[in-house]
Amino acid sequence: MLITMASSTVALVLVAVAFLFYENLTFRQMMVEDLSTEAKIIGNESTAALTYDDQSGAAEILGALAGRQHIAAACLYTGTNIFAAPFLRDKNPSHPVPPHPEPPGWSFAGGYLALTSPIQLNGATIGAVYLRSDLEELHARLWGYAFTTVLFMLVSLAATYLLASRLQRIISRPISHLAQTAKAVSAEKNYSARARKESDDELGQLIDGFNQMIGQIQQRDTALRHINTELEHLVEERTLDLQRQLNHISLLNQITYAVAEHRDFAGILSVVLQQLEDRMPLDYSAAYRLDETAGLWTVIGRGLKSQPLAEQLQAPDTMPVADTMFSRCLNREIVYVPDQRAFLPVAGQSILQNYVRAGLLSVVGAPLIVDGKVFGMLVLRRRARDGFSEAERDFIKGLSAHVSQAIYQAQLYQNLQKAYDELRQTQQTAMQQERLKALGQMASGIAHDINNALSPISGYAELIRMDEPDLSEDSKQFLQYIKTASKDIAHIVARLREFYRPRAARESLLALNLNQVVKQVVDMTRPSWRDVPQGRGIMIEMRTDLDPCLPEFAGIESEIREALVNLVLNAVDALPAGGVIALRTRALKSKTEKPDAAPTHAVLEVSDTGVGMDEETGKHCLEPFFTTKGKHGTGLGLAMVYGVMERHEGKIEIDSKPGSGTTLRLVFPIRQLKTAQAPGAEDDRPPGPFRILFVDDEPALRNLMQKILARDGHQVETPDGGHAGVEIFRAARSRGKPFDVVITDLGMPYMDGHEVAAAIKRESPGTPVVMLTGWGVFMKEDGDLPAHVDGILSKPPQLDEIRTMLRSVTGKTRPPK
Amino acid sequence: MNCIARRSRRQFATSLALAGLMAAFCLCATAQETRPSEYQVKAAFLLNFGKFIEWPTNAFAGTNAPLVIGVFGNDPFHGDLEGVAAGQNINGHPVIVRQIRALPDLKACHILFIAASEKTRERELLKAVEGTGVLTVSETDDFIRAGGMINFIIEDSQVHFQINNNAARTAGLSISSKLIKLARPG
Repeated sequence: MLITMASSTVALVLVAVAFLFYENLTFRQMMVEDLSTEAKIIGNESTAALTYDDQSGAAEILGALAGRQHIAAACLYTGTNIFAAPFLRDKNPSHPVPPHPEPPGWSFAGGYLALTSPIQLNGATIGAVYLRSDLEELHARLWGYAFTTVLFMLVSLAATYLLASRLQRIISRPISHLAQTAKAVSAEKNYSARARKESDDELGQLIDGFNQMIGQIQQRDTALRHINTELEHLVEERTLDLQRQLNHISLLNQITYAVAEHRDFAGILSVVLQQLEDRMPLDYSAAYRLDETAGLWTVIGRGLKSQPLAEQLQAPDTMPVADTMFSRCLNREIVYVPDQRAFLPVAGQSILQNYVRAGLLSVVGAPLIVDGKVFGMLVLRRRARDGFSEAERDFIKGLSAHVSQAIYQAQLYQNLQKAYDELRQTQQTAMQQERLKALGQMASGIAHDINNALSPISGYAELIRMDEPDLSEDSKQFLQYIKTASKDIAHIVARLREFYRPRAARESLLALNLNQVVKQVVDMTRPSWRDVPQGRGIMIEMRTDLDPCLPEFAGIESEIREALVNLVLNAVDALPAGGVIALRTRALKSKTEKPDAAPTHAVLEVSDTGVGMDEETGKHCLEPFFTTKGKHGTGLGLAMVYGVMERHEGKIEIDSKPGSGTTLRLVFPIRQLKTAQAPGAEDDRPPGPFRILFVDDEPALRNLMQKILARDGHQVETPDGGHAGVEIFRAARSRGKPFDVVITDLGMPYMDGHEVAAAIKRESPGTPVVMLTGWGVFMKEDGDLPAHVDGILSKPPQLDEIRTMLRSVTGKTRPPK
Repeated sequence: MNCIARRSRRQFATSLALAGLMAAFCLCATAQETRPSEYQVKAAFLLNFGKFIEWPTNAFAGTNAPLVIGVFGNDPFHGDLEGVAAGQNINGHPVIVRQIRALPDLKACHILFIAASEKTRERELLKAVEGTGVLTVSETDDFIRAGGMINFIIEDSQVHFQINNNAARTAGLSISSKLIKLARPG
């Protein structure tokens, strides 16, 4: 409104000023034109007067200007002078007419308009006329214009005011109202606001349209809010769901990690149950193992919280597989009972009543399955009715699969570990045996050589002593020393030889009573464990615990007795401050065999409560020359025991720890004597005589065998190597003088014993083939004879063994003479 | 423009000077002892009559045809008329002064001055040029009555003239009212 008025006023003032300015200009121009016209008229009128010098006529013409009010002065000039009396309105004018003609033109000066115009006649200028006009008309006119303009402006402003206020009511107010409403809507998001309609014109339609638009927006906004709320709700639900799943995954993860640290069934289950109780959380959890033969679920673990609850409810440790709500677990299905009270009417469910009474209403049973076979079940309970959501049941299902897999892995691992342990034990035993065997063989060899070397020493010493009577007493004494020393050496060497000596074929195994042997040893060693320590004020108690049912078995009594003596003496040595020595015997049955089966092993145990052995000592104690007794021990005692046990095909077990005593266990296989041959009944006559083919690549052995076999009256040929042997065999057969027996070495270049045997059997399947080998012992123990071979002899060949072998392979004895 | 204005102003100044000279000539003739003689004034008057009179269009052979001032009788101007008219130009027509001897030649004039010597033949001469558009001028007492158009008179020792506008109108001439206003009553 104010703006409208102000702009109108400014516009009007500008127009008025412009108008006045223009009016002033035009009016002035008009005045100039008018005056110039008057000047021309007067000039024209005056031409004749000027031409004919008629001054009175000229004055008369000028006098006519008295009627023109605005003319203040007028004058005519010829040449440079005034021609006739000038016309002056005031007799004493402030400005007289110029005395000389001014150049033609006009000027506004001193409140007048002065104009000079030339007078022309016949194309020539004959004079000039000067006119001066006052500006009163101009001023009056300008004042009139100004007054009119101001009046017009006032009227215009009044009209503008009226029009503006009217427009304001009709247009501006509704529009500003509309704008305010729109602003309110956009600022406050208040879509319920409506603009007021005041007329039915275009503005009214605009407001209607606006209201409709806002209405639609409001509808959409409402719909949008609705959708938004739904969406938020959905997102919330999904977030909760995800959170739950995340929890489950994290729980699963933790369980998986925890399970990975356990390798045993019970350990895995206890971890799983504990985690489930804490994190799910659960009110009760238990794991069962399926015992199919008994038809029972047996508890193998409960959660920490569940244990006291189970005791309080007197929950049984087993439940029948059939006819419980968990029957379906057997079909590898997860069982869910939202409310156990539904099962209450079923008879024989007293424990169920206990659970219900304790408020445990919902229960899930998840089968544990390995290789498609149900082997157990997880039972999880909650107090709430329908306490397990579907997602949780899915989780439990997945978890049970994981746990099953873990248990399966654990079982695999346990089996593997067991197999590995066994393998390692076997390997260690084998290694020790090998080492001891090698040591023993070396010791035997050394003993033999020492004996050979010792024989001349002691023999010649004896000869000197007997043949030289004139020796000084000192010399005799020295010889005696040598002899005694030789004896000592021989004694030591003898024991060395005993340490590892293959059981001589001759050494007969006799049925022996181990209990008898123990009693003998206890008596024999009594001085060592009772009398001597008592003398030093030490008490050693000897206990015996003998199994009366111990069967007799084949063995060498003297050796076992000596071994046991050794062990008892060792035990006494281990008891420097006194203690207990216990000797026990018992029969051992194989685990796999039935209780009434005959025992397979006899065990002799020697324990003491002495100082014990550390690990290093335990490892080496069986080795020859290893001793803990310093100068007083030979290091051969236990080694000898080992040798004895080897010959009896038994084994030694040692349990010992420093400070907690030592138990040494001798385990003998119980072997019954086969048709026992009386020792004296053996036929010591040599078999044969036979035609014998001895194949070997070593000349020394060929010579030896030639002599040995020839002494027994056999005909012997000793070809060098396999090819030669087979050739000779063929040649003899073609001559009709075949060999009765073939003895072949095993390890030969070009053609070894196996090939020779095969070739012989091809030529003559009936001819017995004996293989002579350094591996003979082991091959025999394996109990298997190589193909095409009828018997095996060990190196070095012993006459009696050869005879026995020949007898057995030919099945003949020397025919009586 | 500036140059043009200056030139026009210079022209104006020269023409004003010429007019001044002429006025001075008149004034001299009246106010001073050395003023122009009577016939010098009459010669200027005679020449200027041409400027206030309109001839019928057929009076001139063309736009550049000369305006002929004829003197019949004993020439009282003694060459002054020729002097005044020399080089003069009225409405584009160069002015020629001729001494007329034969009557038929009278019709060839535009302005005919009949000298006082021919006073007796005035009527005859006027009759000869009647209706031919010749402005007749003389200086005798009866000239206006006799049907002449303009007659010089002397009043207060100044040259004035009388005009017979009826005779001029009859002859087809139009005399400017400004000239008529200056004329003395006849």
